[in-house]
Amino acid sequence: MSVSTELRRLRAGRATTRPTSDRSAYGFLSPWLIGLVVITAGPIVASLVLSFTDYNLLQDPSWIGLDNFRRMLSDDRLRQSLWVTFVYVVLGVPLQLGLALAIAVLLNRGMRGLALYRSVLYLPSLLGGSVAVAILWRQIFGTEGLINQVLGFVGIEGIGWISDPRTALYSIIALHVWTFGAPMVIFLAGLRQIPASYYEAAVVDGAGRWQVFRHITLPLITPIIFFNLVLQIISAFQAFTQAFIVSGGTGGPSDSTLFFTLYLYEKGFGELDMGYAAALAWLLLLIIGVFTAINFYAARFWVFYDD
Amino acid sequence: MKSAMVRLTALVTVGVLASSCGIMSPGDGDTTGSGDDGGGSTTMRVACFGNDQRIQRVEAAVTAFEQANDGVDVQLECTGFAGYFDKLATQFAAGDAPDVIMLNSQFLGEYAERGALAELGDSVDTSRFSEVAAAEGTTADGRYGVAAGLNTMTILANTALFEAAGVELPDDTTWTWDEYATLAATITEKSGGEQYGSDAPNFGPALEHWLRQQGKEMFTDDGELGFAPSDVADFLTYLQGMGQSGGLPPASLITEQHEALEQSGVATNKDAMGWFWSSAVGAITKASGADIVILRPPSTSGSSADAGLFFKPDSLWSVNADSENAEEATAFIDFMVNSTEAGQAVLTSLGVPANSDVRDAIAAEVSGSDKAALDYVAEISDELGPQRPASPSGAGTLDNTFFRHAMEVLYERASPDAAAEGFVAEMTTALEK
Amino acid sequence: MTTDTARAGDVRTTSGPPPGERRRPADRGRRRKSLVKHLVLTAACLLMIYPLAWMVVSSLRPEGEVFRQTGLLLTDPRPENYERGWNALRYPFGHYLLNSLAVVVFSIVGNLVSCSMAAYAFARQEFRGRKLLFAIMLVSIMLPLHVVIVPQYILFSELGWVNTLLPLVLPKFLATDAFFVFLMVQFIRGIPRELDEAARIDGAGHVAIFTRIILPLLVPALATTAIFTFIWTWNDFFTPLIYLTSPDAYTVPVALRSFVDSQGATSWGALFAMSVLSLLPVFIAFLIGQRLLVRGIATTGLK
Repeated sequence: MSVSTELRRLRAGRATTRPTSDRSAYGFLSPWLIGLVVITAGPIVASLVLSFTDYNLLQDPSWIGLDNFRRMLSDDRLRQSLWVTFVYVVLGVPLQLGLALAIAVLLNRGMRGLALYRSVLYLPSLLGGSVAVAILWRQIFGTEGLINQVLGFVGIEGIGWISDPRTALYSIIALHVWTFGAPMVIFLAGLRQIPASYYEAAVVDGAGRWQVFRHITLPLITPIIFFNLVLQIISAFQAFTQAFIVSGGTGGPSDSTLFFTLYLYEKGFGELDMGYAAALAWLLLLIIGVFTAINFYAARFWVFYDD
Repeated sequence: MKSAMVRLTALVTVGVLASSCGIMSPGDGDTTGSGDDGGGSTTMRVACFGNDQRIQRVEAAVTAFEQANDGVDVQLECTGFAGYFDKLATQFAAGDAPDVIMLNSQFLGEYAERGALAELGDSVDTSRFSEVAAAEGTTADGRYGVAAGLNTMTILANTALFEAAGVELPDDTTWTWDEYATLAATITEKSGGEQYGSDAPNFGPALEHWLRQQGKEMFTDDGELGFAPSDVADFLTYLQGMGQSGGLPPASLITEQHEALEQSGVATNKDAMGWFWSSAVGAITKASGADIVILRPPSTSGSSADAGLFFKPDSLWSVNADSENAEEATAFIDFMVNSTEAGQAVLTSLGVPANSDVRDAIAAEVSGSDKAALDYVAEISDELGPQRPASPSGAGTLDNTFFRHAMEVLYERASPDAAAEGFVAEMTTALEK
Repeated sequence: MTTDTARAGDVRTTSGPPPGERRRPADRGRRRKSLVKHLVLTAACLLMIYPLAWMVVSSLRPEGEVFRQTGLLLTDPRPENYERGWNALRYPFGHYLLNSLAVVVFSIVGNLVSCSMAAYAFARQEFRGRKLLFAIMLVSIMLPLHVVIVPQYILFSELGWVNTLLPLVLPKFLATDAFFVFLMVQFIRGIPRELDEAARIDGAGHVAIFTRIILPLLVPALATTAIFTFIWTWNDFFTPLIYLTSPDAYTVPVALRSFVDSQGATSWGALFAMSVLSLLPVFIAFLIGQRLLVRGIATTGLK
């Protein structure tokens, strides 16, 4: 393939020596290192310790060993929250990223009104989680909301999408996909970083549009796809705000939107069972850690770095 | 090269230092500063929750308190209800919670049992409270809070919908649960299904009325559940029946209306009757624009004297067990609940005053639906059922837990028996913690 | 908007994306395709605008009607909701907007400086424990906030920093937002290393390479960081709620929550008006930020 040869040629001059250990690196890292030691590490370790205690925030924690973790085994609502969260991650992340990438690629091509489209598409992601926004989403997905009004035009009688236990979770996933603006912006920034010379070279070689996308655009933004994938999975596992505002903090109806962190929050602050909440947090960390590790391992086979 | 590196690091450090020198600190950075600051004046921190209008009323009362008590400086730390208890628990964990804190009755037992609150003894005068109102805030170990104001459960009826359906308002001193259900179903039917007869009964409090009419209580004096699964199953069967006869909206609508008061079926003129705390009368009336009347909850026997009516404090004032200003703190609480100045500042924004003198003093100053609520509370003061035992720790989740299980029944995902079993099992575990 | 469109047009000529199209001789098919594309995008845009339109319409509704009217039809607009909302709280609403703005500005500066520095080290430098430290950085964002906040609060409380802006902005100066460090690492790795090497041959050290080569080329990532920091900090409710105790210091989300009462009346008209108003700065920030997004390598004429 001529395009790949071209890419290889462009990359060829790069196999020069790299400097070995570089002490100035710690200078660049110093803000982060200070932050790690002073602000981040303490609370992380503390939460690990608390996960082995019975801690209600009002009294001193008391050591109970593995009891919190044992309790998880017979916790039905925990199982429900894990299921809800997995469904959300497995459906929400790929759908949102796929849409974000497709639109970003579409928007990256010079066209009229580009800036306008970009801004408008980002709108739903700006809204955040205020009370007004909570009511907004509930009205849209409610029995008399936008969705059902649109369905009504074509003669379908809708249901209360967020108030029916069978559809509530999927409504939140739809809402998540709707706010694809954030990964879209990151993809756009990534696409902007591809040097024009790569495209020019490909054009000289007579590559078609799909070939250009497949052999230049796609490989060059794999680091950005990878970034979005890793971070979106992490944040999807921690999804809180949307479920909280849509269900009024209950995870209802019928626990159908009981996201993991919602349950954790309810335990920690609602029931003042912070020891158990800390244990739940470390279970989550373990799960996210495994997913992230797999991601990093798999990245060797598909992520292309230009350095 | 190295010096450049040093410069870069120094730049960041300077930024950090500059900020920590207070350039960026808003307001008063002194938060640990309870206690004397030398000149004999005391700074006392007071936390409360509510919307901003209510907080501004409390603030006016605080100003009156400061004027009456030279040398006491009150620092109000009030927020909306959302997150208030999260913040409070966090402050207690760090040992820097305010001196006076506003709690609600669900969390009072939680905080009292865990030693977070000071035992108040007789330091706050409750002699002008009714016996029932005075008992709020006490546990088996003593007094840990004083009711800031009272609410009671009411049924709000939208007279416009009654008229539209051609149905008479019921006699609320004699109506029974069965009559309530029949009435609700009739209204739904007569409206042709456009409206519903009843909102879902405000689950936890309605269950409590139901239980009290059976001679039971939510909790025993020992802090255990005061009822058996079969009692709950009876109530859930009743609800299920109301749902099936069309008296209640479908479960998904109930879920949608559950959030804000103004979103409820009564407020949006969709449901003819609904269960609300008396503090909600104003909001519902304003939102619906219709004529809203207050009714007593139904009874089993057909006499409202047996309806098990009770007061629930809108909120309670408590003192942090670690407060260094306990004396000023109790003086503050006493001022808030017993002085007419405070009463005239807060009016009914914290519920109806428990002190009957204060209640009389403000009667002339409230109007409209606030007046209606005030009169209603005064009216039923003689009809109340027995004193409710205090909520033990772990009780804070009861309303949410019951709501969840009751909705399982209305969604037809669980039988009343199964839901009742599940609810009792979950609450038992919560109380054991 | 017109100037921006023009610039977007310029971009096409420099980055020359659709090479396939250039070869196609028939212009008619292309125009029809473009029309379809615009139609699809317009339809998508309507879907995206709806939430905001609903918010604006709701902010103009008479008190309480928000829950009775579900569509976008507005018969009786009440612009006075804005005036009422502005003055409804303890301080004029502008006070909270300024508080939020202060937090946001410091947060953006902090994130831009500290995260780009850390990212440079991770992406371009060799040092002992690099992989381990990188892993630790990722782990640090895997714990949910609600568990970490209590120990963190205790820490800041011990330092006497509660009720100052420090707990809100200091962490940003210390690169605790691993999201942005990782983001910038990925972007820096996308910058060809030949540039560094060339500069090094010219005698440049790491500081020079970082400031003169990497940072200018990192503008899209920096813009992304600034935009996201703005939005996330602006919308953050829990952290300011926990750390700020005096109403004087409350930020917008905390102020907005205090319109709401769980048991009493809420002035929804005023709440919606101020909610819409508080979206304005975010939107403006996005409009400004996104202009920088398009200034990538593609437009800097790099070979």
